[in-house]
Amino acid sequence: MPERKRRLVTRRLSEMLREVQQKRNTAEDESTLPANGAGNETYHYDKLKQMPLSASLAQNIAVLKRIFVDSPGFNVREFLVAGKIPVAAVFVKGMVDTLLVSANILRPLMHYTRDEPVPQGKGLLEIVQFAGITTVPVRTRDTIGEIVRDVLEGGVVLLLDQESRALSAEVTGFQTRSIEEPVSESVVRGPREGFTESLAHGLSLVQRRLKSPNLAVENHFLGRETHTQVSVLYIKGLVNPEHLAELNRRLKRIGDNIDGVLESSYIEEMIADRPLSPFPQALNTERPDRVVAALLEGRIAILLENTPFALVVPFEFQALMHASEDYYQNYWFATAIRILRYVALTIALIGPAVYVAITTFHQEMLPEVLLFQVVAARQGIPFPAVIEMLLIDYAFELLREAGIRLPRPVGQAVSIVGALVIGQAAIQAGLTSPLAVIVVAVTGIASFVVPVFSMAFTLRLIRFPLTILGGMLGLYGVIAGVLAIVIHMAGLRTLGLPYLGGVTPLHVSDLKDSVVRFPWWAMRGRPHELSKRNRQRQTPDLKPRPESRK
Amino acid sequence: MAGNGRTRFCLFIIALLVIGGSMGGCWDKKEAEDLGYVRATALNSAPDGKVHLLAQVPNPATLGGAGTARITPGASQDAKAYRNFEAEGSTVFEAIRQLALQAPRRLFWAQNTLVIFSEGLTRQGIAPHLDFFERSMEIRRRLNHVLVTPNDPRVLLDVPAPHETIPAGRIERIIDQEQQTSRFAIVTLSAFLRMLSTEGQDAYCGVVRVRNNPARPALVQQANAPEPTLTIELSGAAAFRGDRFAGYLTERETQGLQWARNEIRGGFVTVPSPSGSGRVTLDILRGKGRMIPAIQDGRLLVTIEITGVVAELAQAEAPLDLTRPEVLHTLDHALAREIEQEVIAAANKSQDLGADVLGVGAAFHRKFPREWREMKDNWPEIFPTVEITARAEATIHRTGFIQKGITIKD
Amino acid sequence: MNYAISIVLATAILFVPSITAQHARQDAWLSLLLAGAFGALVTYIAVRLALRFPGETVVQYTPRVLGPVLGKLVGFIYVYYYLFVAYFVQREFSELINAAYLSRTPMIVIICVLTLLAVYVLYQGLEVLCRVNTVVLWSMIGAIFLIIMLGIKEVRLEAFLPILENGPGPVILGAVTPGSWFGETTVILMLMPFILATDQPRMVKFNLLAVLVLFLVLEMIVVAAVGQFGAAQAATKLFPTLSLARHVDIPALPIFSRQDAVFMAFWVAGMLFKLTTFFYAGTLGLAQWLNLKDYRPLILPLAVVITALSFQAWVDITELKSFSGEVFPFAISFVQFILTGLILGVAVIRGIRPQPGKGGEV
Repeated sequence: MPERKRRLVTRRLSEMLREVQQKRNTAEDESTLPANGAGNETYHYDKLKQMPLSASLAQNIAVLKRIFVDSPGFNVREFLVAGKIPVAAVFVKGMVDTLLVSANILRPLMHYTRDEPVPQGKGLLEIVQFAGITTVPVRTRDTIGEIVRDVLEGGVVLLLDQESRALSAEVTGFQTRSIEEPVSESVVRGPREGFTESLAHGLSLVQRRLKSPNLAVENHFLGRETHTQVSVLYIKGLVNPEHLAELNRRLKRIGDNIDGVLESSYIEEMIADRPLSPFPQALNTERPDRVVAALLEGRIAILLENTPFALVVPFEFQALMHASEDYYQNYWFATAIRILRYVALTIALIGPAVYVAITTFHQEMLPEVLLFQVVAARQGIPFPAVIEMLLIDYAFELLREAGIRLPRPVGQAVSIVGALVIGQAAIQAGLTSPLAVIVVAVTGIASFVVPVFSMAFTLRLIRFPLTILGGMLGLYGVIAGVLAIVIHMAGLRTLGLPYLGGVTPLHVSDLKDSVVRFPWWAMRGRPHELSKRNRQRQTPDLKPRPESRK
Repeated sequence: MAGNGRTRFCLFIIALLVIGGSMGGCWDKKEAEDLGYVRATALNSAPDGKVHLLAQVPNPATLGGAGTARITPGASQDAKAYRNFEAEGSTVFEAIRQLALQAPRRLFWAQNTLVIFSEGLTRQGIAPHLDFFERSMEIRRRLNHVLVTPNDPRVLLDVPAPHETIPAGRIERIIDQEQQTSRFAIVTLSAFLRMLSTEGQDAYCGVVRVRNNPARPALVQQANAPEPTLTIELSGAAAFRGDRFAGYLTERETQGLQWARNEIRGGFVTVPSPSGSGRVTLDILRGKGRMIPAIQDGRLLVTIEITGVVAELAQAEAPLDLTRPEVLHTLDHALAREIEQEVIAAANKSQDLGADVLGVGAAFHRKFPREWREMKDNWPEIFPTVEITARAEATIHRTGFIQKGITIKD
Repeated sequence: MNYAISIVLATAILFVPSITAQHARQDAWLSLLLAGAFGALVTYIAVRLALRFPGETVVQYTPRVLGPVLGKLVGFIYVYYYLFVAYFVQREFSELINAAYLSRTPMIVIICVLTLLAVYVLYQGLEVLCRVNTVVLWSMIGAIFLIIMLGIKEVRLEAFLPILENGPGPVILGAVTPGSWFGETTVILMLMPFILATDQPRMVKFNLLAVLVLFLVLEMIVVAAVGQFGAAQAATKLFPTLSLARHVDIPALPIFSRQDAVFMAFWVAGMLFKLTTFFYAGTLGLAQWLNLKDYRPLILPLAVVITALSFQAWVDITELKSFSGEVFPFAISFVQFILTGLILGVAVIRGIRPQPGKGGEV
């Protein structure tokens, strides 16, 4: 570039910038925002959405700078399109990929070299949008509120002079975890992908498994401050519209009335049918395949930003006892495993309670050899059986909790010390009987067999009052407690779907996927209560039959 | 759905009160180690019309694997595996409560499996004492066996028990072996009570005896755990007339009785060999007994039919040629005759004793209810006059691994 | 609808074998046949009446059928009858638990635990009641079936001979008590409005089916009790079914030999739902009798009242048992059979039809 031309450009640029500077100074006074001291105002989307962009670049910049005055990483990059027309790119550093911004926005615009002249005002936006920037999604925006949101979500907003619209380009570039195997639901056979904290990943994982135009999404933005995107996924034609409408109504109720939604549990608690119940009322999962399976049954999935845990509603209690791997393994085996899980559920719930009840109320229930072992083991134990059981159970929970929060190597050390050293020492010191330790250990292991963790928590919680009841009234107390739980569960609903659905109200075809799992060719219908309109999952007569034998 | 806030709160408070209230209670809580588990109860007569009660309670500290490894304070090495508590009272329950004056544990009867009456007590009548065993909520009537002993229960329940830690356990295990012999009666408390209350049926039960131990070696000075001088044996049955002891049945009569009562589950029969010399012993596998009453010209007839007897040839003293079917048929026939004789022996004994342990009266009651109404008041007099016959059919299904047996060369 | 079976089942199996055996001895099973037939008749009448007024409960339409004063009176008899069965169940049940398992625990605690559970169900409404019933009922029938199967080897058929030893008199006498228990299906008079309109026409069939199932279960128990204990022993037992459970002995697997407490656990569940159904019927009836919009405010006060009544009404177990054998059947048969038949008769003669638009909303 010749020296003369360069000097010319430099002078022209500095003139223009001065011009812009002046305009901005005047604009700041005309700002429509209340002027009660910069940096102290709080803003709300609803209010900002009402605020249109002005046609003046300088004023728009001023407004945004005011809004974002103390925001971390807020940047306004001013530059000239084709070397003459001033434009400002607004973004938050750290939310955008700066390389992408420079390559796809700044470079093509600044080096704009097409033949037709770039207009100063009208028409500029279209040229920038259609012939200028090269990022994939580009949208026009015309209120301050939209711009603020785009910027905060990792977009770059281009403000043009003499134009009351802005262009928003999506170039999010923050760091996300890559897709990994889900930790809480690992499988031996089956897909190993889990959701990550990125909603975009999540949606793509679901969509990859469900290449159907019937897959629909409805977005909600929840949380006054966090403004978390919540995607409600369902399959058109399979979902029960009443469930969908009810869910949307409940999500709208949350809306901006809560300040933040950081994890799906926030939603789970806010949409529960019975807010006081200890039972999980939304099924959470990290597994996209599980979500898709639920969608195919006519359920609704809720995916959230910033958490790998998706929610599935509505669901029945038995879904809490199913793992996605059940459907990938041989169905005989899967059935055996499910029976095992129900046994584990029973043990985890009433194991200690029954032990206490039998050893302190119903000694006659034990055959004499076993009874004398119990009696011999309990010689000289200073605590009554119920107290002993509660203490050991509590100690077990203590160890488990300590093991979870600690870094993995330390956690292992804790569990070794706890399980081996304390347990052994307590028995040798005559503080507890080995039987009680065995019972608690089996109970603890059993509670880990329950595949959905939130259900395991519930079990562990209910176990303690049941143990106390068992210690007070024997088996009568235990059964009264269990009945109370059954009554409670019979009254529970998720989005209006009975919690004990399949069993009561009874639908025999639903029992094909309950304690047992029928082979796929035999499971013709979708869950009865869910999909009243579209019952058939597959055509009948799919049972494989070798041709030769016909 | 679930009421308004206030009622819910009320409910919650009530639930709290109930739970809290019962916390203070735990009325029925009894820690497993605080109980003394009675395994055998023996009743004997005592002076002044009182009853003498003996309860055998094992010492758990000496049983069970984990317990033995641990040091129990106060348990010395000579700790006996069981203790017998004894007391007298005017009723059984009074005696039981008297035991509480000596026993450091609350005695618990749910694990009791033996109810032993001394012969002396049964001669006085046991109805008053049985009431306790029928009424008690702790006692399992089906799991208890009733036995009569001619000996002193104190001796009986203190005879050292090989292979078992306590004498009660030994008796139970012997009862488990009953089907090898059928030579003593096993009668549960439940069945005993049922027989006592059934019209036209007298009760019987097993007999347990103390005997000199034949296994006692000549060398008494053997230092290392000498064979005890006494041993326990179950054999025969005790027949009752009403609630009073009437007499003993021999082992053979007992087997006959069990044929007639359809309670045979095994046993053995020895018959003369069809080859002319020696005897043949047959192992019974199964068989059915049935009683067919009839009234002919005012005479009462009873046929006891034993059918479907299946036996196995267990031993033949002299070689038998089983390649010829007729040899086996002869043996079948001999077996049937022997069974018939056993049954008749039992019937004769019961008629002699005047104790209708076979349930002949009950059979008449079932078949001839109208006639029974006239008979039942003088049944004790009628019973000895009933004509009892027996008819048996038997087959030998298996002969073991040989057909002929060895012939000793001269 | 399973409640029809379960409501009767729970208490009936407690006493029936011994009460029936007291009169009919070894012919107790014949008594049950008679009782079953009587039960079917009562059920048929009750369902006919309920179907005549499908949208209303008996408390709502009796004033129209019998006139306001008499109608209200009869309505109250029904309400009292339901509550009476409820507190009878409370007492009967706690006597069992007290006698067999928790002898030192005050009866009030046992009753309170059960009543609180019932109150919890009632607050949640009829739907939960029916749901839990389905679960409980079938597990209970399963438990009974298991107990009988385990003891079937012990049943001696000769215990049932001779048949009709003392003529048909004792058999009929023995049928009275179980007959009145079968008639408890009249609770349908309170529940009919809540049954789906599409299901209502089939209620005659359903209820007769329920009586049949009930009959089979009771018959099994009676046969097992008389067959295993003998008629004389079965008659003297206070709780023959419990004794049956205690009678199980499997020498090969001793761990199964003493599990009657497990059976008790299923029983508790069955008792609870009998209590709940009648308590519900009584509470709902009283609310309608008083023209209240919602029955829920009555739940707690009535719970206290029936608990108190269950204490005060009988002094001891002997009184309770002779009452349930001698007074209970006649009092109950009066309501079930005579009153229900009367209302149906009058309604047919006077040609009274349901008022349009008046439903059983509560």
